[in-house]
Amino acid sequence: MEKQEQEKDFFSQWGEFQKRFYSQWAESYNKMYQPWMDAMKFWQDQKTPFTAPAFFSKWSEMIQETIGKAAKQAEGGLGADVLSRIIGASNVFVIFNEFWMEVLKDLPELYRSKGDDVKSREIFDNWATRYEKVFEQLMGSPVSNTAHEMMTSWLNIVQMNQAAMGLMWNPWNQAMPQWQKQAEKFMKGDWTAFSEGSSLWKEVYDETLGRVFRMPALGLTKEQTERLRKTYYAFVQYYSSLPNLYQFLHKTGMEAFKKVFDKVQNLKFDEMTPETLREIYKIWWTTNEDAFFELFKSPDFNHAMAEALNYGLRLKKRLDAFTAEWCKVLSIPSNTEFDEVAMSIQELRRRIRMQQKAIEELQQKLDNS
Amino acid sequence: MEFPFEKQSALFLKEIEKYSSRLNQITETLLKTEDVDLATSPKDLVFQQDTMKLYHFRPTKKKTCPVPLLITYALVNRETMMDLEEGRSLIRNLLDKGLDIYMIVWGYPSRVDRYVTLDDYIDMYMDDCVEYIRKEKGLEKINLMGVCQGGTFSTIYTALYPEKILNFIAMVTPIDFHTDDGLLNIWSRHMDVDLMVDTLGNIPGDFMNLGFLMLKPFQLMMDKYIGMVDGAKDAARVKSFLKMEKWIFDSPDQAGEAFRKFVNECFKKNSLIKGELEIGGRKVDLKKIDMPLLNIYAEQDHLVPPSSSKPLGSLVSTKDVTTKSFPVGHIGMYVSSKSQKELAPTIAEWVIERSTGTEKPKVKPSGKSTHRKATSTKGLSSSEARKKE
Repeated sequence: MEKQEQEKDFFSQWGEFQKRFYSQWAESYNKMYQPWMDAMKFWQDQKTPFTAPAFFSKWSEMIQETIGKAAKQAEGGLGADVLSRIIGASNVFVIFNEFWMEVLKDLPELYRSKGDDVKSREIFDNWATRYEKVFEQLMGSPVSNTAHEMMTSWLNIVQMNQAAMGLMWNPWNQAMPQWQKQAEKFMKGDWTAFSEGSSLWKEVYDETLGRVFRMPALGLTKEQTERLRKTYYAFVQYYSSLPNLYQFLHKTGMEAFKKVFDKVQNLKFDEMTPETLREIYKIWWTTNEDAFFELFKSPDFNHAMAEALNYGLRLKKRLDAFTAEWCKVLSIPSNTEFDEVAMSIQELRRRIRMQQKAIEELQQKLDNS
Repeated sequence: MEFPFEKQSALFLKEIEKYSSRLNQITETLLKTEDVDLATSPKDLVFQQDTMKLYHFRPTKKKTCPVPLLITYALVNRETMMDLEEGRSLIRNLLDKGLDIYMIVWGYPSRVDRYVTLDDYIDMYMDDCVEYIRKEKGLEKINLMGVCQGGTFSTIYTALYPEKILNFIAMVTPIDFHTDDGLLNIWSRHMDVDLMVDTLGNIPGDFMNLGFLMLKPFQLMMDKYIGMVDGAKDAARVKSFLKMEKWIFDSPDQAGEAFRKFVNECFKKNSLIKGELEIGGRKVDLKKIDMPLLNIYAEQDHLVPPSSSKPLGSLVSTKDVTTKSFPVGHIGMYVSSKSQKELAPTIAEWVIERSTGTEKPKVKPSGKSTHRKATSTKGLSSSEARKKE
């Protein structure tokens, strides 16, 4: 009885195993990226990424406060002015040091705002402002208008680039949390999640890279490039239609498996014999046959199957067109060219038959007259 | 002293031994068999047009029916199923009943036949065969039997040329394609057949095979072979199995345009039953079938369900409709032991009764013929005959 209960609880055990497996996988995944995450945190929390620059600023401050003040009192030798300037020269490095520390501090934020042209422009503007401040501190006068315009133009170019990259990468970033959820569900045995993930992937792909492959090409290799792009697009479409089909097959297989299990449980036999095995085999294949028969009748499955088949045919069509193009170079007739001949042949066959019939009728009339 | 599970282990080992012995026997039989021959009933090629051939079977008994019977099989698979082997041959059984039989063999379409249309098959090839027989026999009308898709073709032909047909037999013939009892009917409605034909040209025979296997995947791809091993001791049974295998996977490609029209018009639009189908510019009106009709269907047919075949009787105008069913499947109709005993006698009796005393000479058989000279295939197996032709 206990054994039966254990066997009946097989699916719960399987579910538990999957959960444990997923948790362990997620844990090890996180551990793999932990050093990078920690480094990012370090950069966020620290005012400077390295202790040495902060130390250098402090040291410089200390020198200014002690030797610098004393140098101002000097009467002989290089003189107070020169000595003060020598000691004050370290300020240049302090200014540069602080400038770069601020820049580096903003890097994690810049990474997070990848693709967000407005946010990343804010950061770049801050950098430009700080640069101008540093320039003024060192040179004693502000940055010229020309230089300012140059900087602004450069920042505009960078922003445009960011915006363009954003179009490509933002949808992927936005879809990532959903994929993580779907991956979690899939690890627990939910194949619908796999199909949904695949559909989402295709949606995002169509919105981003798919557009690149669909856009018109330019130049001497326009036709070949477009042909190649369309072939690749057809491949992606076909490949991404398959998970939707597989999920039906998998689901039905699992349901049939459960039914077989339940039927076998109800078999009353004292011991396992070859005849019992045959009976189990018969239960297995008939249950599966019935389950898949019902699946094959369902509109959802038929729609998925038709979709996969149609995408496959379109891919073949593209591959054939691609191959035909290469066949031209090798002087091998393509299917299209041969089809033109076949069409003419069939037309000729029909005409010959009509004429044969006309001849026979005339012959008949001659014989009868 | 017996250890735990010793008895059970012994039982299972014995079973494995038995199974291994059967596998050995099967292997021996397969190694001794180079090829199996189908359709060995002697016949003569009497007419040919492109890939289509018309054969005339050599009579085995004294003729009991004055009007010949033309059999039209489907484009899908080969007509060799009707003459599988001695002991399982509808053709031989009909010949033994004294019928005079002709059969259309559609052949293997190649890329050249890509543009052969449904109209060509019916208006051209079938009509030419009927005309040939009429002229050769000097008869106004002949008997026509259509099997499966060939039955649909024959139904269409009979509706278009009722003046040439004396009696019509439809065997496991799909007429109503919108019944949901068959998976093929359901699947074809979702198929983009235009894309398929535009891409593939001719529809590969393997594609058709795959579709048929998927109707009963576990039985046809697994249980069947396990059953074969079970019957390993009987070499004759193994050979029979091999013949069936040969037939099942001997699938010609389907001419693209004919396939396109057949699926679009029949499976998708169900035009035949609605009277909207046009062949050669003419509407196919089933009411024009005014001659005796024998409609045979298989009760356990998963390919052409009874609900697809039965309606024919109510769509024709003739009052002489005989509907007969057999408790077999689609293939079982030709090869099961029950059908061997009953099918041929049923057909023969029915057709003889309606043919005797009705033969009307039409014209003198013409001395000159524009048809291709016949090639004798006497005593040759089907494969040898093909090589000769």
